Amino acid sequence: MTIMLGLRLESRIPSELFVQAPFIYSGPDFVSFPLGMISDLINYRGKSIQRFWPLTISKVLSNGNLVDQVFCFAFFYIEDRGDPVLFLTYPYWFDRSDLEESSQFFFGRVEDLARSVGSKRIKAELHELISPPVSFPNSVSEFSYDLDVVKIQETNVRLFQEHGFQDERILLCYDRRIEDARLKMEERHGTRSSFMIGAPDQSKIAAIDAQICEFPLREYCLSKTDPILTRRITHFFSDSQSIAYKRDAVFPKRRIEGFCQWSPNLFEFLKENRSPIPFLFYDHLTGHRFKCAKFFRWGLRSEDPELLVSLVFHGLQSMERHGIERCQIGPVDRQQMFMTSMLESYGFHVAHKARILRKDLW
Amino acid sequence: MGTLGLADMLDKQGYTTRVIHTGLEEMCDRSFSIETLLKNHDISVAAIDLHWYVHAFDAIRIADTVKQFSDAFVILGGFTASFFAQEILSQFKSVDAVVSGDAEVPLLELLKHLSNGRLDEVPNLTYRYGHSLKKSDRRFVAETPDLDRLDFSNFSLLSNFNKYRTVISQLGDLDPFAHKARLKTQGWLCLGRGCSMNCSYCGGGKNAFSILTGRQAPVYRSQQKVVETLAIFQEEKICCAYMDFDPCPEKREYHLDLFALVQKERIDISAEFLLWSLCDKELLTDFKRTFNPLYSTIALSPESGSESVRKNNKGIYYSNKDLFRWLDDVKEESIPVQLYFSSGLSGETQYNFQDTIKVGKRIVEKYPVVSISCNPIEMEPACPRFMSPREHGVIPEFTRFFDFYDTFKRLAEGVPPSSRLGYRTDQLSEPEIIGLSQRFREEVRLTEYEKWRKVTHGEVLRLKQRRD
Repeated sequence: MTIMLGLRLESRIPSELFVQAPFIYSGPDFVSFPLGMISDLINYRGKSIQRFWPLTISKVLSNGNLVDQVFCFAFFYIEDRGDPVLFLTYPYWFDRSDLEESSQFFFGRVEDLARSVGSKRIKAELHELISPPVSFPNSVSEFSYDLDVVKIQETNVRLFQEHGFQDERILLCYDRRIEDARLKMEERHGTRSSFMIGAPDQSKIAAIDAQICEFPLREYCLSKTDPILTRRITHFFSDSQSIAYKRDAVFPKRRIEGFCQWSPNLFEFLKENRSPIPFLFYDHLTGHRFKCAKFFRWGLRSEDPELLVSLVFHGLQSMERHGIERCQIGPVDRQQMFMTSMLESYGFHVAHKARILRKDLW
Repeated sequence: MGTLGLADMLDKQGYTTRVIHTGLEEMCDRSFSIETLLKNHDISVAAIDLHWYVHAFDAIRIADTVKQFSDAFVILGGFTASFFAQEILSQFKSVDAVVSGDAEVPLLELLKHLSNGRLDEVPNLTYRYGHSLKKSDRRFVAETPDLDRLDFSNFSLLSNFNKYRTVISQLGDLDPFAHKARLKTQGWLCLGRGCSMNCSYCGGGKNAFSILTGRQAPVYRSQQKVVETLAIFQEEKICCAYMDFDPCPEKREYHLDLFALVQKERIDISAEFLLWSLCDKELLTDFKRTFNPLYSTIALSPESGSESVRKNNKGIYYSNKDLFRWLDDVKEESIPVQLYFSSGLSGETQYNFQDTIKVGKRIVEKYPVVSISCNPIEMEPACPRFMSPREHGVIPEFTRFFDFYDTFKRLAEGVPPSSRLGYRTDQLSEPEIIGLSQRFREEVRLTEYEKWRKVTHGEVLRLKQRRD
């Protein structure tokens, strides 16, 4: 008879995770992922800190075997105030038979990790409502689970709350059939717009990014200063961006009024290609027929309904040219009333809800 | 891996056995010393691995320490020890015996006969006999049933195994990328022994095996036993099995049958498979279907981009056209690929090395490469270039064990060795050979960097527009 000797924390991603909970990693150093290592460093107070921490907690049995309990892809980022924060992506539980003990161990080790680099804050992302399909990317990180396959584990919220985490944000992802959304927009706004919408000049993208970062109305982002989070790697498809300028401005192309970018739903590709790093096989990616896409990066200089509609309309046209049938937009902070009310008025409904929780360490 | 199999065999025969990886012990405990280990354990026999020539100095150093602090009988084994058995025993008094070739039966017989002194009964043994050396007439060469009796996965015998499985890499070093976040755990998978080819630079080719072990043809572990090992890997949370045994590239039925069995037994594990030559698409498709894609990769060593150099040096020749056709198949199957190139091959010049750089750049531009490297070839004991240097256009610097020992001793002590590679060629000096690899790395990495810069900055990917 084997008995449990204790719990252990290791830095690894179990291969069974990919079978039970398929995911896509689109972050830095993705080419090294199949070699079993990735790297990105952040600098804090003169020290270089490894950003990524793939945490696996296992039960250690008396026969030497390990039974994986939970996996969580954690990483550090620098928030706008300049301090490091430890971020926990959605924890996936393999075995919930000793949930209280393993969760106690998990949260204890996570706090130790945060403190080890001088971080005083931990944030976590938990998925809640899901109405498939939920397009890629569906995380505020570069590690997205295919939520059409992964079963949401409802006790997660309770566990986090019991360990001192509090709600910080609710993030929404909206969904609509493209044709329905486009027709509604044409019906209300017609095809004339006081904005010029087009594809951005890729050679000026750094300057464009710098303007967009300061927009008051934009997708929820963990940090405006951490470079990995401000300009996400999923900016891969050159024909999926739209930029808006005022038509009657004296120097129209100096001041950007709005921006949006979409990604096809790479989870559709994952089902065939079976790789957690689809960008390694980008030749296959460009030939794939996608059905769904998501606006995952967007920003408006002001709460201007015409601006929002013009941008989204342009993006929808681009999606339709590529044979895409459904569009999603997120992550929208639920407190952004302008965005939520606008999208709902155009018939978008919530397909996915995520919580961002927070715990401050003392 | 072989050491674990030996340890398990001894353990099952009732001998209290432990495998100590001294580098790993030092990683886990900076104060680790062999002296302290010997004080805490009363050992009767110390079997020291000297398979790879890079361990030439360390193996002897450990033997010296064992002899100084214990009364243990010291044996060396592995290819380098086998090849230089006489010289080692003549020069280094701390070594009592060398087991040449396959060691399973010899080690057991040695332990049986140590007390009665009948070492001539021990197969494959060279040992001290008074003031002279003697070599046993008895020979042991392992066959399939012998390999099947071995268990290469009794990890409880390896001290600090949990650390080992997270830091080991196929590059041979412990934790060569310590600054990176580790995602996987890895284990070596024994599929068999031997080779059917004679690559000029390889000390594990057909002729080398014949000299070192008496083996005339490759031998395979049964697929059933391999799958049992994989099942244990899975239980031990080793998520990637490294396979580097492909001795007969013209016939791959063994591997296809193995993959079928892995699928049948529903083993969920990734695999890193180093092919010894090109394969047809069926193998790639089966590989993709069989193994968990998370960490699965295929690796190949074309060595040179020059077809004439490749033809002169590799046991099985394939053209660049065939190479790219194979890469097209790999890409179609969406398998990440690793490539290895070298400098210092026989017949290589500064001029034809340009082909290696050109091929490397083209591969990186067009294919899903996760790793591509070029390293200077080092002189391996028993390889064709060592045995017949002039036939291969090589002027050797290393001709004896002491040359390897001295070089690695100097490196350990921080003293520059007189030769690092152990040779120069008719066309290239040692610094030139090293310089070529460096140039490959610089130029191909720049190509790789530029490729991914363009892709990740949205300059390459365009989705296909649909007209229907």
